[in-house]
Amino acid sequence: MDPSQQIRELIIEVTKLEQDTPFSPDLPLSELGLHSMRVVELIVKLETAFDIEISDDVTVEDFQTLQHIISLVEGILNE
Amino acid sequence: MEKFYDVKPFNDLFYRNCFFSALFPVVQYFGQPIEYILAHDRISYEKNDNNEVWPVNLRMESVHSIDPILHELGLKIETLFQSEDIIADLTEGLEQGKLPLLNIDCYALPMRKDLYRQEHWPHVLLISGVDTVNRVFYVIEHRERESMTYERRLLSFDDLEQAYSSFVEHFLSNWEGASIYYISDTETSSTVLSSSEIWVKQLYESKQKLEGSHLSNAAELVGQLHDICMQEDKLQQHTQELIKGLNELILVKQAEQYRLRHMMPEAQAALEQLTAQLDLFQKLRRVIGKFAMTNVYPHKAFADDSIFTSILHLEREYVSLLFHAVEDHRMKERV
Repeated sequence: MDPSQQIRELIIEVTKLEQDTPFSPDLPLSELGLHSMRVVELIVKLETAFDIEISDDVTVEDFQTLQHIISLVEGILNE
Repeated sequence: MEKFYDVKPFNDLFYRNCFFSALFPVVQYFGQPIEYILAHDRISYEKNDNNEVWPVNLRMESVHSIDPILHELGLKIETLFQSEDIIADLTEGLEQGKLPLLNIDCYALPMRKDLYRQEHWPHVLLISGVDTVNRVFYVIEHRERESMTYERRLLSFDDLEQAYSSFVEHFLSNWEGASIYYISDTETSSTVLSSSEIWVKQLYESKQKLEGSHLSNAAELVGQLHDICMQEDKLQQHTQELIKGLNELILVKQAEQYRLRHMMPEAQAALEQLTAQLDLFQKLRRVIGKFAMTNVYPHKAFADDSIFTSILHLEREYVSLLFHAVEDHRMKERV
């Protein structure tokens, strides 16, 4: 599966949105209810899904939008 | 009849509780600065006796109650302990130019999917309009307890009545205060000092405390966090209390950051220390939260005590730099 699609589905899963909820890559995810503890849940799911380790030093900004998260994950995958 | 006020949700900051989340959009709608309210707050680490995990907490307390502060801004706050006809009372208030803040119980509010029919939870709704033909109120509300994003929504008369009745039934008898607050504009602002001047004055009056007990209490708290986090069994035992306490602490720190950024923008160096410290508290919450979900002890994050020593160092630096900025501010005022 395309990583961006996989990340989109994980966001929908942790925010408990309807499966077909549309959102643009630059929509602030706080508007979908991605608050601090859900970010932690998303980190755990991303690490499992992509077999990566996300640094403890990531910031709130890294999870602002879908595009930010795609960049973060792709950056780690390309390391 | 339709009456709608163009009140905008305020999402820049979660301040104290949902009463203020409902109040701030109203203050802004009437053209007054919310900074004036923040200026009256004192933020300090205080002893929190009888709490095993958090023997110290970061407290935010106003030096005045909200009524006289709003009065100085030219806003009037009227209260009604209990309504016998909530739809009529709210509609009448809105017709008279008063914006109601209404206590409800989320247990009986269908739009709150996180709590509806699950948990009795008192909450404040901001009512920004009414449409009597379609029998709906315009409200500003968030979707769930943890979300800080408020938005405009429609609420039917029936749902509101049900949520208000449940609040009356489950909370009002032991409630400190009223069930409805009406805010209106008297257009007679009597502010003498600006928000910044009030804040600088109260900071100066708190200098001894902030440089003394505030910092020693901060050291005690950091020592406690270090002690729990460095031992896996202790961390396991207190994870949820730590996360809850860190959530509260981070909200207060964010309010402090907002206030500094908006009311003393020249204090850039202090802001940098505060922001760096806030990042560390958020990192600590993330690490503990991850531990709670995976049960894998974060050896890397706690390989040394740098996260804790840095938090304390940044607090000391912040207080020192803040008072440099306060002195500069006072010097300029004298000139």
